[in-house]
Parts: sequence; structure tokens; C-alpha cells
Amino acid sequence: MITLYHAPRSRSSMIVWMLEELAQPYKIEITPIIYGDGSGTHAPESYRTVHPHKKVPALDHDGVKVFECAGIAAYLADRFPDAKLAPPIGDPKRGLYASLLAYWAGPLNAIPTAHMSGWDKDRPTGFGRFDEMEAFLEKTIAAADPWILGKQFTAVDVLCAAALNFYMMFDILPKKPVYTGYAERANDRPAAKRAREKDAG
Amino acid sequence: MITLFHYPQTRSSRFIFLLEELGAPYQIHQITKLVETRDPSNPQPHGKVPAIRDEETGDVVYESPAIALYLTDKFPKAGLGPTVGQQGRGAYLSWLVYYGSVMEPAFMSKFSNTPVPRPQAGWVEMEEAMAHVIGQLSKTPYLLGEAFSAADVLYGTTFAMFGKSPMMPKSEVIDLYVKHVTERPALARAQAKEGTR
Repeated sequence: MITLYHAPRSRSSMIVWMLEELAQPYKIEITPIIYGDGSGTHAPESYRTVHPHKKVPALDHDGVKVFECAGIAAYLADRFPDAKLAPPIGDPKRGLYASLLAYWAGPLNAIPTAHMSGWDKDRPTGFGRFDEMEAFLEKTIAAADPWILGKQFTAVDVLCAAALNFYMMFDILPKKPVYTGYAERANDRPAAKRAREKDAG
Repeated sequence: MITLFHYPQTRSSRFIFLLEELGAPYQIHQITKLVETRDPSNPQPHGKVPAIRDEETGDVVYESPAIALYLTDKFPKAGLGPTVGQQGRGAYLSWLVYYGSVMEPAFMSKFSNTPVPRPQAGWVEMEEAMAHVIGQLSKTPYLLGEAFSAADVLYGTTFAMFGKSPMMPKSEVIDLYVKHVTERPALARAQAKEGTR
């Protein structure tokens, strides 16, 4: 059985989407967190055995524990290959797939966060520059035909579409047609719609 | 054949270590310069290192956690990362991703004396991240348990580099871990191939 530790309208919402794409039975354990705007409540200390920093998402699959969005997405996509959410090991697109998952978890999360907090205003952060990250993202999304790795929709699309939705909502990224077109295409998938309904409660 | 795009004394150095551990066929392509004037032969999107190219498929891989995962999946016989379905795969993926999404930003925040923008940030203060690492290493010699893995290549070399910094929390557990990682023969072989700037 798959259990997702989830807080509505948070980073874990994209894993609800991932699980809907996977079409495997799962259950959701609603978990309190402190949201970006400061609202919410802390999870009990006992939750630290599930997630070391009491954040979401975290996943338990028959006792196998995974956390970090990209870690969970990579785990699920490989573990349930019938859903074809990852190029298999040995496929010539596997390298790009792995690179983009890690890029998403690293620079694509750290650079916008630093940018939002004003950290990169007068000194380099060490993560890389916002304009360079955005140029790379734009090139990657512009090449999506219709999905980032080609015909096959993968876990990378779930993560990137979720990030675009979030960054455009908070004006961290401009609403360029290349982003909105791709995000609408992804958000229009039946699994994405089911995930939004579940997330709304 | 794996080509490693490398620049001496950078984040690419530890991938010579990993490739030596794997016993994988590889060659080192030392790039001429880092980002300032990027070397056109470097396929990394921002002109950084590390990156690898799998000469069998032409596939390019970048970002340290992705390179580690790609290589251990491609060379599973070395036993340096649990394969899909194997016990420990979940922990392995969690540690690899955590390295890029939490550990590195936590170090950057600490060393640049910038508060972690919480609760928005996906990472935490270095002390809290180190507590998680120390918690695991107090129970087992390596991050995944009794056996050394590619995750230890990432964390062990990082702690070896920052271990002397007064900003790093003093920990006997970390000191012992660094000792175990840095005593490995593959690291000595890797250092002999490091090259000069």
C-alpha cells in the first residue's frame, strides 16, 4: 500500500497528481505544516520519524520510506513502470530525465527561493543566476513536443508543470505563452484534474 | 565508455572517485575554463561541472545526484546503489535528492551568512540538516546502512572539504565517517588522476 503524507495546497499536491498519473491505489494522510504565508500548525514531534524536518511530502510504500518531491517521483515512476512515467534504465532519454529531476530539486527550487527573498539582489547566491536558470527553463519548455521528453508524459512533466503553476501564480516567472501553453496542456490531463479535486478536499 | 567533464578541485573531482569505485570504463575530459568564458566542448547547460556523457547512447547527464544515480543504475554489479525494487532504493533516492535540494543550499546559506528563507524554502538551516545526517550515521557507518554507496561519495567528500571550517558543527560521528570515506583506495587513485588547473 502507498501512503502519502500530504498537506492540501502545498508541495505535496504535485505528488497527489503523480499518484493519479500512476493509477495505483493509495491513501492520503493529512499532515499539518506551516505554510509559506506563515499559516498552519506544526506537525507533532512523532512525525519526525516519517520526515526529518516535519515537512511534506513523504511517502510510505509497503514500509519503504521516501521523501523529497523528486525522490518520491523518481521512486514511483521506476517502481511502477507500466505507467510509463520514466524512460527505463538504458533508454537514451534516461540521462536527461535524471538530470532534469535533479535540476528541478536543486537550482530550480533554490534560485527562485533566493530571488524571492531578495538574497540575489546585490551578491551571488552560489546557486546560479536567475536569468540563466530562466533561459534554460524556457528553452526546455519551448522544446516540449508535447512533453519535455517527447511523446511520453513523464514525472519530469508533473514536477515542472507544478513548478510553473506555482512560480507564475506568485509572479516569480513571467506568464510567457511558452509557459502558459505548456502548463495548460499539462493541467488539462484527467489525472491533473482528479488531483486538484482531491486536493481541494 | 563514460566521458567525465572535469575541472580540477571542483565538484567534478568526486566523480573520478565514483567512477574508480564503480570500475567503470571512463575517460576524463578536462574543460579549459569554468563559466566565465565557457568551453564549447562542455555540454552542461550552464557551462559548469560535473557533467558526463554516455558514449554508448550519447546521453548527457548533469547535476551531481543525477550523475550518481545514472552511474550506479548503469553499473549495478558494483553494488554502489540499490537498484529498482531492491531494499534501500527509497532511502538511496531520498539521500541523493536531499543532497541537492537541502544539503547544498543549507551550506550556501550558512557560509554566506544568509538566513534560510523559511517557511517558503525547501531547505533548512545547516545545523538541522546535519542533525539528520548525524542521526543516521550514529546508527550505521554509512548513510544506507552497513554498505558504502554513491550517496557517501557526495556527502563524505563534502564533509571532508568543510570539516575544518569553524562553521561546521563538531561531531565525532562525522569525523569517523569522513575518515572511512577518505581512506578508500579508490579516492587515492582518483586523486592521482585529478590533473592541474
